[in-house]
Amino acid sequence: MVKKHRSTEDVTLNVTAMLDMAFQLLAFFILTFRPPPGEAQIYLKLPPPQPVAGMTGTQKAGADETKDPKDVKTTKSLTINLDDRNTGAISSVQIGIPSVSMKPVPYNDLEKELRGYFKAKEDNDSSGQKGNSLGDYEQVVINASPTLRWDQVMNVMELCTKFTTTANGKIPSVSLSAAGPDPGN
Amino acid sequence: MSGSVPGGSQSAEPNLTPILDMVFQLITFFMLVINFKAAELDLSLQLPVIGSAKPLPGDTTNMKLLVLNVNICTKCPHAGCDAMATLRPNVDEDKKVKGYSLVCEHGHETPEPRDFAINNGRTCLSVYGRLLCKENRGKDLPSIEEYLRSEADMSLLGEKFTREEMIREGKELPDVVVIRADSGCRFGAVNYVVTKCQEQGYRTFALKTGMVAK
Repeated sequence: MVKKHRSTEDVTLNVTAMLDMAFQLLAFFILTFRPPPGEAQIYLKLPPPQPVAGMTGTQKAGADETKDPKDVKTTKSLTINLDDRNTGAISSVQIGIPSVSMKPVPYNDLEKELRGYFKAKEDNDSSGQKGNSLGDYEQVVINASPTLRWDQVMNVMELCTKFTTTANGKIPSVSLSAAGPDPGN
Repeated sequence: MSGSVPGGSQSAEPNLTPILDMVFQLITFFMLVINFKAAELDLSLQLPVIGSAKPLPGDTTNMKLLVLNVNICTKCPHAGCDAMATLRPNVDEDKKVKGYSLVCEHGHETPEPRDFAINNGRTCLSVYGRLLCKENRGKDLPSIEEYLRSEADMSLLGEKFTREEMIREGKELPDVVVIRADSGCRFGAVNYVVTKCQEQGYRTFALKTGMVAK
């Protein structure tokens, strides 16, 4: 019988074509690679503002806001008015309930003022939940001049979320409204 | 004399297997980190920077996000160009902003002070490089309201309630509206977009901010 001889030479696969394709793929992924931008966010429930911002129900203007237990259940909005006199930056701040009284506050004291509005409720909170709460107010309405710059509004929004964020992860409720028509189109 | 070198007839091929291995590893890396969602972000916007902003809470992978890039646009000042232009920062090598230019959809650049957006300029949404204004600008450029309505209709496809039920019963769409507004944008423009979203049934919003440098 004739013995079959197998070739002792190495059989090598030509990988050049595959390497070319791999480099093309690599070039595509490198060119389309965009590192994600470093961004954070304020997470909010933004319901449309009530037609009449302020108290509803039977509460009368000037009545004691803390003593009547019925009033806690009614919708109450704390309003922050921001005016810019068409400069884009905050020039005056008012805080309060529009149907009762609006109190002018220096912008630098806004945080202190907001803390004062919400502190009474925090002290009396018997539910045992930690963290700040909206107090008697169900929402904060930011009523800003339409020409105010967005970063200025965001600074006020940040202050509001400090007092409306709860420890149980409830999303704070803030409403936005514009004081007057938008000058652009 | 013989001109042939002994062994010269054999081809000298480098072993490409290690380089191929390395290239495949690189491809795997870039495939894993590629993020097609970044395409819907308008990276020319300068987001406001505040201290206490946090990432979205909990598991965000199942959240449906509607990303809206809010900006102010104006007609391109370049002679004969009827496109809309937005403000872009001019950045030097150290990534410091030197000034601002209006850049239109056709690429014309005109230097412009940043404050133009306060008292004039039109509210616009930047959607994959297209600028949507308050009014319909022709084919493929619906108005902001039409665009938001179509997005809301897409969300309603997966819901058990109809648009009429949603409005009647005060239900809300589950999507989170991500507002990426330029810090120089006027409040009236952002408020217009937020109001139009609320009209379509969106209630949950994430207002984007830049990260504070530490």
